[in-house]
Amino acid sequence: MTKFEDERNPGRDLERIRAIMERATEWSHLSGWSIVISGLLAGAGAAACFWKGVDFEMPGHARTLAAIWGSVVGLAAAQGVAFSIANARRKAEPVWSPLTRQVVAATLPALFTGAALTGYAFETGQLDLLPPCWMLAYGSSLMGLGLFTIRPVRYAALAFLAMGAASLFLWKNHGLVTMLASFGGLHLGLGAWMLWKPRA
Amino acid sequence: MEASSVSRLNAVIHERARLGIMSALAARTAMTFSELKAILDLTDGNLSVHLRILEQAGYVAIEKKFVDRKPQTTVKLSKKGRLAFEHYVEVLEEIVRKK
Repeated sequence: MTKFEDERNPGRDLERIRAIMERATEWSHLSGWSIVISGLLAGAGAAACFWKGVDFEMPGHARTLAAIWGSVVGLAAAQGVAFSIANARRKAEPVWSPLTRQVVAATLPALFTGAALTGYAFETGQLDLLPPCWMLAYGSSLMGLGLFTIRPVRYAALAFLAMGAASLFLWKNHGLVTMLASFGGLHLGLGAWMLWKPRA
Repeated sequence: MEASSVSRLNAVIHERARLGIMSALAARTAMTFSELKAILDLTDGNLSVHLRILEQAGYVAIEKKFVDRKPQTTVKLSKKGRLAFEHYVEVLEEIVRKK
């Protein structure tokens, strides 16, 4: 133990401790461009559905819907991972860091739930359940991610959850429109915010 | 700060850079050297010096290994370090309350 300088303010020290702890748990590998591209991919998926004349509410479109949205999810995930790896490398930080592992652990269960429900919806032919199920699962996963990154991710997660619930109870038979608004619009909005309004 | 309370603060942790290191590590299970450097805005040399002091006090464990053929240093907060940090924060809060 020792004597300490008077100019050190204990209140400020506590604030600094809190600030550093918050910064230490912030996952900074999320890319605004990756979010924008995810929004564009969702828009392309919805456009492909309109062009092919397939919808979630029409029977017999399971294969086409699976092909289109499976491609969208695959491409979105691949580019998201690629952007995160590039971000980590640019900052000379490890890709598979302990924090990244925590982020994966927080986001994966909700995605697994979504995948399981997707399988069930396809098996039972209840394709109209897919958009709300995807929005709710993705929103839950995004909320997990939001605990480790910038606050607007949490707002986007809440919007996904609200739209998922509304799609389930209120906006039935509007699967493509809600997919376009949520996975397209919300991603574009969040990505644009991240690109044009960088953190202070 | 009041002298009697202040004297209860842990000198090893109280240094500004080391308090930053301990705060960051308290929030995470483990952090790499480069992550700590980026969060605390310290130079390599400065961070190394303070980590060595914390390691000597038994507050952190430092592990060096190769990942993708590149050296990687990981720093973990030890149980003793966590207890010392928690006690430090408690004393600090007590000082603030008494002010």
